[in-house]
Amino acid sequence: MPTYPTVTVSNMELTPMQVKFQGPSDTGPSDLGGTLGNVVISSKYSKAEIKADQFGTTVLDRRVSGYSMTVTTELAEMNRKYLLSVIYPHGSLVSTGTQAFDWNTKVGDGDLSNAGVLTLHPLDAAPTDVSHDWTFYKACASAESEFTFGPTEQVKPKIVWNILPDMDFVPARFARFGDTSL
Amino acid sequence: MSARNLTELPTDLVSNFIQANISASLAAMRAERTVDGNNTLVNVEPPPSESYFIYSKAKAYRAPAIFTVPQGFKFKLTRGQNHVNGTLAMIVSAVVEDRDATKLSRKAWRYLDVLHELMQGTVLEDTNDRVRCTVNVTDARYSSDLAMKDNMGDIFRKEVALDLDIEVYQEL
Repeated sequence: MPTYPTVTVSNMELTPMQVKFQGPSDTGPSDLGGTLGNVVISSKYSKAEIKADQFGTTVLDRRVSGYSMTVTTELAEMNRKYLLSVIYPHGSLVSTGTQAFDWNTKVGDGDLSNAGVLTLHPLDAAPTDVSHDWTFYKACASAESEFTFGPTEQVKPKIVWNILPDMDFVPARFARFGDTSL
Repeated sequence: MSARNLTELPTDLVSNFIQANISASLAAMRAERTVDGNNTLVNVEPPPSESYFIYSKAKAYRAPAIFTVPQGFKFKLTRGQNHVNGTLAMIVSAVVEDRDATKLSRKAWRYLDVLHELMQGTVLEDTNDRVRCTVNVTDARYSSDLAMKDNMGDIFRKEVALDLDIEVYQEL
Protein backbone atom coordinates (compact mmCIF):
# COMPACT_ATOMS: atom_id res chain seq x y z
CA MET A 1 0.00 0.00 0.00
CA PRO A 2 1.51 3.40 -0.93
CA THR A 3 2.18 6.24 1.48
CA TYR A 4 0.00 9.33 1.44
CA PRO A 5 1.51 12.58 2.75
CA THR A 6 -0.49 14.81 5.05
CA VAL A 7 -1.31 17.85 3.00
CA THR A 8 -3.36 20.76 4.33
CA VAL A 9 -4.63 22.54 1.25
CA SER A 10 -5.86 25.57 3.21
CA ASN A 11 -2.19 26.42 3.77
CA MET A 12 -1.59 26.86 0.05
CA GLU A 13 -1.66 30.30 -1.48
CA LEU A 14 -2.53 31.66 -4.88
CA THR A 15 -3.47 35.31 -4.77
CA PRO A 16 -2.54 38.79 -5.90
CA MET A 17 -1.72 41.36 -3.28
CA GLN A 18 -3.01 44.71 -2.14
CA VAL A 19 0.02 46.98 -1.78
CA LYS A 20 -0.11 49.78 0.80
CA PHE A 21 2.60 52.25 1.71
CA GLN A 22 2.87 54.87 4.45
CA GLY A 23 5.74 57.27 3.95
CA PRO A 24 7.41 59.07 6.86
CA SER A 25 5.30 62.20 6.32
CA ASP A 26 2.03 60.42 5.48
CA THR A 27 -0.78 60.38 8.04
CA GLY A 28 -1.83 56.86 7.13
CA PRO A 29 -1.21 54.02 4.68
CA SER A 30 -2.08 54.63 1.06
CA ASP A 31 -3.30 51.88 -1.23
CA LEU A 32 -0.98 51.99 -4.24
CA GLY A 33 -3.71 50.61 -6.49
CA GLY A 34 -3.22 48.30 -9.43
CA THR A 35 -0.04 46.32 -9.84
CA LEU A 36 1.34 44.23 -12.69
CA GLY A 37 4.06 41.65 -13.00
CA ASN A 38 3.20 40.04 -9.65
CA VAL A 39 4.62 41.07 -6.28
CA VAL A 40 7.94 39.41 -5.56
CA ILE A 41 9.48 39.25 -2.11
CA SER A 42 13.15 38.29 -2.04
CA SER A 43 14.80 37.45 1.22
CA LYS A 44 18.31 36.23 1.94
CA TYR A 45 20.54 35.66 4.90
CA SER A 46 24.14 36.01 3.67
CA LYS A 47 26.45 33.48 5.21
CA ALA A 48 30.16 33.16 5.73
CA GLU A 49 31.67 29.73 5.43
CA ILE A 50 33.62 28.25 8.33
CA LYS A 51 36.46 25.99 7.36
CA ALA A 52 39.61 24.53 8.80
CA ASP A 53 42.77 23.55 7.01
CA GLN A 54 42.55 20.09 8.49
CA PHE A 55 39.37 19.49 6.51
CA GLY A 56 40.53 21.12 3.30
CA THR A 57 37.80 22.96 1.44
CA THR A 58 34.99 21.23 3.30
CA VAL A 59 32.48 23.68 4.71
CA LEU A 60 32.12 22.95 8.42
CA ASP A 61 29.53 25.56 9.24
CA ARG A 62 27.92 28.68 7.83
CA ARG A 63 27.40 31.75 9.95
CA VAL A 64 25.03 34.61 9.23
CA SER A 65 26.99 37.58 7.99
CA GLY A 66 24.18 39.83 6.83
CA TYR A 67 20.65 40.03 5.59
CA SER A 68 18.91 41.55 2.62
CA MET A 69 15.29 41.81 1.60
CA THR A 70 13.57 43.40 -1.38
CA VAL A 71 10.01 43.72 -2.62
CA THR A 72 9.43 44.19 -6.33
CA THR A 73 6.36 44.94 -8.36
CA GLU A 74 5.11 47.17 -11.18
CA LEU A 75 2.65 49.96 -10.54
CA ALA A 76 -0.21 50.25 -13.02
CA GLU A 77 -1.71 53.66 -12.16
CA MET A 78 0.93 55.66 -13.95
CA ASN A 79 -0.97 58.98 -13.88
CA ARG A 80 -1.28 59.06 -10.11
CA LYS A 81 1.56 61.35 -9.20
CA TYR A 82 1.71 60.26 -5.58
CA LEU A 83 3.09 56.96 -6.84
CA LEU A 84 6.04 58.78 -8.35
CA SER A 85 6.90 60.09 -4.90
CA VAL A 86 6.96 56.49 -3.71
CA ILE A 87 9.09 55.26 -6.62
CA TYR A 88 11.42 58.27 -6.32
CA PRO A 89 11.47 59.26 -2.63
CA HIS A 90 14.19 61.83 -3.31
CA GLY A 91 11.93 63.80 -5.67
CA SER A 92 9.22 66.27 -4.73
CA LEU A 93 5.46 66.09 -5.01
CA VAL A 94 4.07 69.53 -5.88
CA SER A 95 0.76 70.73 -4.32
CA THR A 96 -2.06 68.59 -2.97
CA GLY A 97 -4.85 69.26 -5.45
CA THR A 98 -3.84 68.96 -9.07
CA GLN A 99 -0.40 67.60 -8.49
CA ALA A 100 2.92 67.56 -10.26
CA PHE A 101 6.12 65.72 -9.52
CA ASP A 102 9.65 67.06 -9.72
CA TRP A 103 12.84 65.12 -9.97
CA ASN A 104 15.51 67.21 -8.25
CA THR A 105 19.06 66.67 -7.21
CA LYS A 106 19.16 65.71 -3.59
CA VAL A 107 22.71 64.70 -3.01
CA GLY A 108 23.13 63.30 0.44
CA ASP A 109 19.47 62.37 0.95
CA GLY A 110 19.24 58.98 2.63
CA ASP A 111 17.04 55.91 2.28
CA LEU A 112 16.41 55.63 6.00
CA SER A 113 14.96 59.12 6.27
CA ASN A 114 12.58 58.32 3.41
CA ALA A 115 11.67 54.81 4.51
CA GLY A 116 8.09 53.97 5.32
CA VAL A 117 5.88 51.03 6.21
CA LEU A 118 5.04 48.74 3.30
CA THR A 119 2.15 46.31 3.76
CA LEU A 120 1.11 43.50 1.46
CA HIS A 121 -2.37 42.09 2.05
CA PRO A 122 -3.56 39.00 0.14
CA LEU A 123 -6.72 39.67 -1.86
CA ASP A 124 -8.20 36.31 -0.92
CA ALA A 125 -8.30 37.34 2.74
CA ALA A 126 -10.97 39.55 4.26
CA PRO A 127 -9.96 43.20 4.70
CA THR A 128 -9.75 42.79 8.48
CA ASP A 129 -7.91 39.48 8.39
CA VAL A 130 -4.24 40.45 8.81
CA SER A 131 -3.00 37.01 9.76
CA HIS A 132 -1.28 36.58 6.38
CA ASP A 133 -0.18 40.15 5.81
CA TRP A 134 3.44 40.98 5.08
CA THR A 135 4.64 44.12 6.85
CA PHE A 136 7.97 45.70 6.08
CA TYR A 137 8.84 48.29 8.71
CA LYS A 138 11.41 50.39 6.86
CA ALA A 139 10.92 50.19 3.11
CA CYS A 140 12.49 52.64 0.70
CA ALA A 141 12.34 52.41 -3.07
CA SER A 142 15.60 52.06 -4.93
CA ALA A 143 14.68 55.23 -6.87
CA GLU A 144 15.36 53.61 -10.21
CA SER A 145 12.74 52.83 -12.83
CA GLU A 146 11.75 53.39 -16.41
CA PHE A 147 8.59 54.27 -18.28
CA THR A 148 7.79 52.73 -21.65
CA PHE A 149 5.08 54.42 -23.70
CA GLY A 150 3.69 52.70 -26.74
CA PRO A 151 0.61 51.52 -28.62
CA THR A 152 0.53 47.91 -27.49
CA GLU A 153 1.38 47.77 -23.83
CA GLN A 154 0.44 49.92 -20.88
CA VAL A 155 2.96 51.91 -18.88
CA LYS A 156 3.98 50.02 -15.74
CA PRO A 157 6.95 51.49 -13.91
CA LYS A 158 8.81 48.95 -11.86
CA ILE A 159 9.50 49.60 -8.21
CA VAL A 160 12.01 47.82 -6.02
CA TRP A 161 11.81 48.46 -2.31
CA ASN A 162 14.94 47.83 -0.27
CA ILE A 163 14.03 46.83 3.24
CA LEU A 164 16.07 48.32 6.06
CA PRO A 165 16.16 47.12 9.67
CA ASP A 166 13.91 48.88 12.15
CA MET A 167 16.12 49.55 15.15
CA ASP A 168 13.12 50.25 17.40
CA PHE A 169 12.84 46.50 17.80
CA VAL A 170 15.36 44.43 19.69
CA PRO A 171 16.71 42.58 17.81
CA ALA A 172 16.24 44.87 14.84
CA ARG A 173 13.44 43.65 12.63
CA PHE A 174 13.03 43.82 8.88
CA ALA A 175 9.57 42.40 8.32
CA ARG A 176 6.82 40.29 9.74
CA PHE A 177 4.57 37.74 8.06
CA GLY A 178 1.45 37.77 10.19
CA ASP A 179 -0.42 40.02 12.58
CA THR A 180 1.83 42.85 13.72
CA SER A 181 -0.14 43.22 16.95
CA LEU A 182 1.13 39.89 18.28
CA MET B 1 -5.54 9.87 2.77
CA SER B 2 -8.98 11.00 1.59
CA ALA B 3 -11.04 9.73 -1.29
CA ARG B 4 -10.34 11.66 -4.45
CA ASN B 5 -12.95 14.28 -5.35
CA LEU B 6 -11.63 16.05 -8.41
CA THR B 7 -14.78 17.17 -10.17
CA GLU B 8 -17.90 16.78 -8.06
CA LEU B 9 -16.72 18.81 -5.09
CA PRO B 10 -15.21 21.72 -7.05
CA THR B 11 -18.28 21.86 -9.29
CA ASP B 12 -20.61 21.89 -6.31
CA LEU B 13 -18.51 24.57 -4.63
CA VAL B 14 -18.76 26.82 -7.70
CA SER B 15 -22.47 26.20 -8.29
CA ASN B 16 -23.41 26.63 -4.63
CA PHE B 17 -21.35 29.80 -4.35
CA ILE B 18 -23.09 31.33 -7.34
CA GLN B 19 -26.50 30.32 -6.05
CA ALA B 20 -25.78 31.78 -2.61
CA ASN B 21 -24.45 35.11 -3.86
CA ILE B 22 -26.02 35.92 -7.21
CA SER B 23 -29.16 37.58 -5.81
CA ALA B 24 -27.21 40.17 -3.87
CA SER B 25 -24.86 40.83 -6.78
CA LEU B 26 -27.74 41.28 -9.23
CA ALA B 27 -29.45 43.67 -6.83
CA ALA B 28 -26.27 45.71 -6.38
CA MET B 29 -25.69 45.87 -10.10
CA ARG B 30 -29.27 46.90 -10.77
CA ALA B 31 -28.91 49.78 -8.34
CA GLU B 32 -25.60 50.84 -9.82
CA ARG B 33 -26.46 50.93 -13.53
CA THR B 34 -27.38 54.41 -14.69
CA VAL B 35 -30.71 54.93 -16.34
CA ASP B 36 -30.29 54.54 -20.06
CA GLY B 37 -33.92 54.62 -21.06
CA ASN B 38 -34.17 50.85 -20.88
CA ASN B 39 -32.59 50.21 -17.51
CA THR B 40 -35.76 49.86 -15.51
CA LEU B 41 -37.22 47.45 -18.03
CA VAL B 42 -34.29 45.05 -18.07
CA ASN B 43 -35.30 42.54 -15.48
CA VAL B 44 -32.29 40.79 -13.94
CA GLU B 45 -34.07 38.40 -11.66
CA PRO B 46 -32.08 35.68 -9.87
CA PRO B 47 -32.33 32.20 -11.37
CA PRO B 48 -34.84 29.87 -9.73
CA SER B 49 -33.29 27.17 -7.58
CA GLU B 50 -34.27 24.46 -10.08
CA SER B 51 -32.41 26.19 -12.90
CA TYR B 52 -28.88 25.31 -11.88
CA PHE B 53 -27.38 22.61 -14.04
CA ILE B 54 -24.12 20.69 -14.08
CA TYR B 55 -24.69 19.34 -17.59
CA SER B 56 -25.16 21.19 -20.83
CA LYS B 57 -28.13 19.50 -22.49
CA ALA B 58 -30.89 20.63 -20.17
CA LYS B 59 -34.36 20.89 -21.73
CA ALA B 60 -37.56 22.67 -20.82
CA TYR B 61 -36.13 24.76 -18.03
CA ARG B 62 -37.03 28.19 -16.80
CA ALA B 63 -34.65 31.01 -17.58
CA PRO B 64 -32.53 32.54 -16.24
CA ALA B 65 -30.48 29.41 -15.75
CA ILE B 66 -26.91 28.83 -14.66
CA PHE B 67 -24.75 26.06 -16.09
CA THR B 68 -21.52 24.94 -14.40
CA VAL B 69 -20.05 22.28 -16.67
CA PRO B 70 -16.54 20.82 -16.21
CA GLN B 71 -14.55 20.49 -19.42
CA GLY B 72 -11.29 18.83 -18.42
CA PHE B 73 -8.65 18.47 -15.74
CA LYS B 74 -4.92 18.95 -16.26
CA PHE B 75 -2.84 17.51 -13.45
CA LYS B 76 0.21 19.69 -14.18
CA LEU B 77 2.73 17.08 -13.07
CA THR B 78 5.59 19.41 -14.05
CA ARG B 79 4.87 21.28 -10.84
CA GLY B 80 6.51 18.42 -8.99
CA GLN B 81 3.74 18.06 -6.45
CA ASN B 82 3.04 15.33 -3.90
CA HIS B 83 -0.68 16.04 -3.91
CA VAL B 84 -3.31 16.94 -6.45
CA ASN B 85 -2.31 20.35 -7.77
CA GLY B 86 -3.92 20.90 -11.15
CA THR B 87 -6.31 22.94 -13.20
CA LEU B 88 -9.96 22.14 -13.75
CA ALA B 89 -11.35 23.79 -16.88
CA MET B 90 -14.99 24.70 -16.49
CA ILE B 91 -17.62 26.67 -18.35
CA VAL B 92 -20.00 28.75 -16.28
CA SER B 93 -22.78 30.18 -18.35
CA ALA B 94 -26.07 31.98 -17.96
CA VAL B 95 -29.04 31.51 -20.29
CA VAL B 96 -31.43 34.43 -20.13
CA GLU B 97 -34.74 35.11 -21.78
CA ASP B 98 -36.64 38.16 -22.96
CA ARG B 99 -39.13 39.00 -25.68
CA ASP B 100 -37.32 42.20 -26.65
CA ALA B 101 -34.03 41.68 -28.45
CA THR B 102 -32.38 44.81 -27.06
CA LYS B 103 -33.33 44.00 -23.51
CA LEU B 104 -32.26 40.42 -24.06
CA SER B 105 -28.77 41.51 -25.07
CA ARG B 106 -28.39 43.88 -22.13
CA LYS B 107 -29.71 41.27 -19.77
CA ALA B 108 -27.17 38.74 -20.99
CA TRP B 109 -24.30 41.20 -20.65
CA ARG B 110 -25.36 42.04 -17.11
CA TYR B 111 -25.44 38.41 -16.10
CA LEU B 112 -21.97 38.09 -17.55
CA ASP B 113 -20.80 40.98 -15.41
CA VAL B 114 -22.25 39.45 -12.28
CA LEU B 115 -20.80 36.03 -12.97
CA HIS B 116 -17.37 37.52 -13.54
CA GLU B 117 -17.64 39.47 -10.30
CA LEU B 118 -18.56 36.31 -8.42
CA MET B 119 -15.95 34.09 -10.02
CA GLN B 120 -12.74 35.99 -10.68
CA GLY B 121 -10.23 35.41 -7.90
CA THR B 122 -12.69 33.61 -5.69
CA VAL B 123 -11.25 31.02 -3.32
CA LEU B 124 -13.54 28.16 -2.35
CA GLU B 125 -12.88 25.48 0.24
CA ASP B 126 -15.01 22.61 1.42
CA THR B 127 -15.95 22.46 5.09
CA ASN B 128 -13.68 19.48 5.71
CA ASP B 129 -10.64 21.30 4.36
CA ARG B 130 -10.06 18.62 1.73
CA VAL B 131 -10.20 20.77 -1.36
CA ARG B 132 -9.16 24.34 -2.05
CA CYS B 133 -10.10 25.95 -5.35
CA THR B 134 -9.00 29.28 -6.74
CA VAL B 135 -11.09 30.47 -9.66
CA ASN B 136 -9.63 32.44 -12.57
CA VAL B 137 -11.68 33.61 -15.51
CA THR B 138 -9.79 33.31 -18.78
CA ASP B 139 -12.40 34.16 -21.42
CA ALA B 140 -15.94 35.38 -21.87
CA ARG B 141 -18.11 34.34 -24.81
CA TYR B 142 -21.44 35.40 -26.21
CA SER B 143 -23.90 33.22 -28.07
CA SER B 144 -24.52 33.97 -31.69
CA ASP B 145 -27.32 36.31 -32.64
CA LEU B 146 -28.12 34.16 -35.64
CA ALA B 147 -31.13 32.04 -34.77
CA MET B 148 -33.24 29.89 -37.05
CA LYS B 149 -36.59 31.56 -37.44
CA ASP B 150 -38.40 28.29 -36.93
CA ASN B 151 -36.57 27.72 -33.63
CA MET B 152 -38.62 29.89 -31.36
CA GLY B 153 -36.64 28.91 -28.29
CA ASP B 154 -33.47 30.52 -29.63
CA ILE B 155 -35.03 33.83 -30.62
CA PHE B 156 -35.99 34.71 -27.09
CA ARG B 157 -32.94 33.29 -25.35
CA LYS B 158 -29.30 34.22 -25.20
CA GLU B 159 -26.34 32.62 -23.49
CA VAL B 160 -23.17 34.14 -22.10
CA ALA B 161 -20.34 31.97 -20.89
CA LEU B 162 -17.19 32.33 -18.86
CA ASP B 163 -14.27 29.96 -19.34
CA LEU B 164 -12.72 29.23 -15.97
CA ASP B 165 -9.37 27.82 -15.00
CA ILE B 166 -9.88 26.54 -11.47
CA GLU B 167 -6.72 25.71 -9.56
CA VAL B 168 -7.57 22.67 -7.47
CA TYR B 169 -5.48 21.63 -4.50
CA GLN B 170 -6.32 18.34 -2.83
CA GLU B 171 -4.60 15.80 -0.66
CA LEU B 172 -3.90 12.44 -2.23
